Amino acid sequence: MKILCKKENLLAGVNTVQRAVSPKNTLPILQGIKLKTDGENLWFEATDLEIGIRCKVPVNIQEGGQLVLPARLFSEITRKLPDSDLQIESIDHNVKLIYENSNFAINGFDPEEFPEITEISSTDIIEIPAAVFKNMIRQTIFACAVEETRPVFTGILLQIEKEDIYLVSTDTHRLAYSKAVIRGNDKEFKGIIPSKTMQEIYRLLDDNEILTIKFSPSKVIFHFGTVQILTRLIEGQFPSYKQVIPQSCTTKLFIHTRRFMDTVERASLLSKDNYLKTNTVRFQIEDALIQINQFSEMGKISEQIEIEQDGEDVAISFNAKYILDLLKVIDTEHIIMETSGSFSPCIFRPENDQNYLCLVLPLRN
Amino acid sequence: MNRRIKLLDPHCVNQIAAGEVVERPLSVVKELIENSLDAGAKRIEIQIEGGGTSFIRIKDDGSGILPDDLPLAVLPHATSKITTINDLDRLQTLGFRGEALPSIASVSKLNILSRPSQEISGREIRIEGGELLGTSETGCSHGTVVTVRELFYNTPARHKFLRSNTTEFGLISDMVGRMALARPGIALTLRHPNNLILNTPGNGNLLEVIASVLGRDTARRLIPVSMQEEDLSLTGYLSPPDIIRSANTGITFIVNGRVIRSQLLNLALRDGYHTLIPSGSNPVAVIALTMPPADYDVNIHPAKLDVKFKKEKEIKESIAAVVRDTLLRARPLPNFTSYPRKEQHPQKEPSLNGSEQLRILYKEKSIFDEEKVPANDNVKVKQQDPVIAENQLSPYSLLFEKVRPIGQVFLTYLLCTDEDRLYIIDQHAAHERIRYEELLGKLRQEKIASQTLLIPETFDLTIQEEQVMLQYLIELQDIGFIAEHFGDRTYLLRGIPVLNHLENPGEIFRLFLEEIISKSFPPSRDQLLEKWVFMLACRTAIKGTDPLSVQEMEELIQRLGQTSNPLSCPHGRPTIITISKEELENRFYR
Repeated sequence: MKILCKKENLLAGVNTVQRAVSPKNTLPILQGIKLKTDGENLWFEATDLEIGIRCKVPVNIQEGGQLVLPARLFSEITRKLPDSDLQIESIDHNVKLIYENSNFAINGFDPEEFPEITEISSTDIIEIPAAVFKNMIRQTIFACAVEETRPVFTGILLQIEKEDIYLVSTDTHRLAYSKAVIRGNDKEFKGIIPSKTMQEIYRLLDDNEILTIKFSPSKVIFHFGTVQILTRLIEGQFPSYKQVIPQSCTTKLFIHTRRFMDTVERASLLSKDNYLKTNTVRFQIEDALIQINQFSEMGKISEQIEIEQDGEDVAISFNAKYILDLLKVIDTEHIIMETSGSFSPCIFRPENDQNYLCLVLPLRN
Repeated sequence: MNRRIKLLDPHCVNQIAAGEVVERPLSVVKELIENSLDAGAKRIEIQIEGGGTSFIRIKDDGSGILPDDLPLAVLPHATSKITTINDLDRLQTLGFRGEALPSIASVSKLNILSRPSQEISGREIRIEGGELLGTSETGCSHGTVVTVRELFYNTPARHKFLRSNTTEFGLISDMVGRMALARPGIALTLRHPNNLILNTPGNGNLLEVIASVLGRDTARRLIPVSMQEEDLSLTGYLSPPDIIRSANTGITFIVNGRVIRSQLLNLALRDGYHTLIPSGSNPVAVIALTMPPADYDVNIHPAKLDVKFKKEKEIKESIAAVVRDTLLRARPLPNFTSYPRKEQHPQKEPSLNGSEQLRILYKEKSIFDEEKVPANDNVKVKQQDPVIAENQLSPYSLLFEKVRPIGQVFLTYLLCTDEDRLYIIDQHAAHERIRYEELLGKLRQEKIASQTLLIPETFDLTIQEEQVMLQYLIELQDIGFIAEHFGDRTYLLRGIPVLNHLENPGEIFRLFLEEIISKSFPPSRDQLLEKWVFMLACRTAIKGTDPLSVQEMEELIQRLGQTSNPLSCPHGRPTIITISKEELENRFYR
């Protein structure tokens, strides 16, 4: 292989695929990034077998070929190269980066051992504006479970039902649900995408692009710009979330989002370092007011926010972190909070928007 | 065709019964020694050959058997020890079932020679496989000699399951040792076949028996423990926390002079030593309880090794408390030279390599014999008040008051002195102990809230687990678990404790049930959440490699002094080691 390119070409490719490299793996080859020529393009590929990322970069190809380089060394040397023209030459598995009057040689892996990031042959394809999908990810990814004990909760459910597309996530303490419309679709799909994949899509996706999603029963490919992300699905049954979302409530509140968030943030300062009463915040809701009266060994807070109240008075406690997480992703000036008593799931949603909601389970004490 | 039901002949009955009582040579030895003890013997001589299968002889100076009773003694359910079942509540003897001799007689060649002191001559009786071969008058010293030859000669199946002679004799000597501990007033000798294996003085001094059985060096370091509570009294000896063993062979429990096994007492002892020794290791202990015979039942199994107590919970708690109290009061600071070697501390944290290095470094320099430092020197044994008062000041607070820091070495250890001694404190371990006790204190007081779950975890419980869960529903709720019936024996976990960084609460829920089933008590909050508290204590404690100012060191030492057990971290590793001025002077030949 022999190619001519610029530093920024290499850097763009490395940055795109690097997060798919598994830093610790029993298969040494997976610590590599694969470079492969194809017409006028150089493909970069990396995978940890759960997620695979490919992207193409235009370069001047003198002689075709493929090689696999250790990811860490390759990315670091790429960053530290001078901003000059580069020439990449390979002999067997080894590569020489030639720049100015110098060169840097890297011992690579055997490219034949690198697992193929296979295209899926399915014709089930949908298209969705990147900005819409990005926002859906942002509004759901925070509710994924971190603990690995029940794997289905570590991902986001992607559900496509005719003209509707849903992302749903839950760690069993809360649930985030986001819906959008894809005109003219008649395909159906349901699968749990690992949150790491979603994070990468969110990171690499440009707002102005169109995202293409191609799905088969065990794999999904996301296409956008010059990037392809192939992901394995998390096995298992995602709980039937529609059943757990309450359809009615006894108390409905209309709250100023920013003021609510500031108040909860202040209240949570007092319980932040208390390991036993982790971040508890208690709302006393009566007479169109939310009152917070809390103390810990560190101090006390007493606040009230004026709200619009429809329905019964209620007192309800939450993990403040969960409330703050959801308030951060709701962009409307006001939010709607719906509850049916101290022990029932509580719904938060943006005003005038039926496509998003976040359900939080209260604390009982 | 229906088989007819018929009564088995006595010979057959005895052989079947023998299977329960006489399992192996050990059982014969144990039963015969118990008979001697029940006969009021002061001196018992035991001789074993071939691991007990070829020859067992027990000779005592007890009351003997009247000549006319001798043939009766080998009949089933014949005994002089009780007459009615009510006698069991006042039972003072070790045996009472009247099964031992006939059982032994039916599976061996037995010879009993006995003379009560009031008779002028003894009588001998010979039995083979349960058949009476004959009796004869003979002269002998008063007391009884029982000889058992060719054990299991007529039950080849049983014979086949015996272990090697060495193993069988090992079991025998272990049991004889324990029985000697139970009866310090009896002089016991054990020979195999002619070597003297064990010889106890029989002067009533338990410590001397311990020295014969467990070794002189161990005995010297043991701490006496005693307690008197209404009907229950306890005496015995405990090892200081630096004498530990990986197996529990150094532990003997005795109730009213009977050696017993008891899961309950094991748990009590473990609770007493909790966090003082690394978990998974065992102390050396001899614990003798005296209580009214009506308060416990030994009649669970013919071998009478297992005991069921009436007031299990109370007994466990008071023993754990007295053990802990005794240890905390009498515990010497670990001394440099007498410090146990590395492999005895399996629970080492990887981050604390420094302390190992120092220890090894010191070991290499320790050219002096340990004899120069009398081992008993720093074991301050006092008569103790068995009751632990709440919020009592730590026995060490006075000691720590005088200790002042000199400096920090390797950014991990504090060098300190009180002008008499040099102390080295592991700052991480010390702070971990302080944080552990603070967190425990809070954990005990606070009500734990419950995070309700949107998608509950489902549990399939066994019948036993279900019963336990229903019984302890309130306790479970107190620590934040909300369980709900779902159908059959499936339950939903609807709420889990709100505790920061608590991993896998479902597992803790199960642990709660399993602990109750295996130990018959609910675990306390501390026990249940121990891992969590350990993790937090470790995470929030200062690290080895954190530089400390003099004020910080002083504060650390004072707060360590206020903890209930400043000498070990929650994992049982030491927080402080010491070297005396004399020791230093010795080392420099001053």
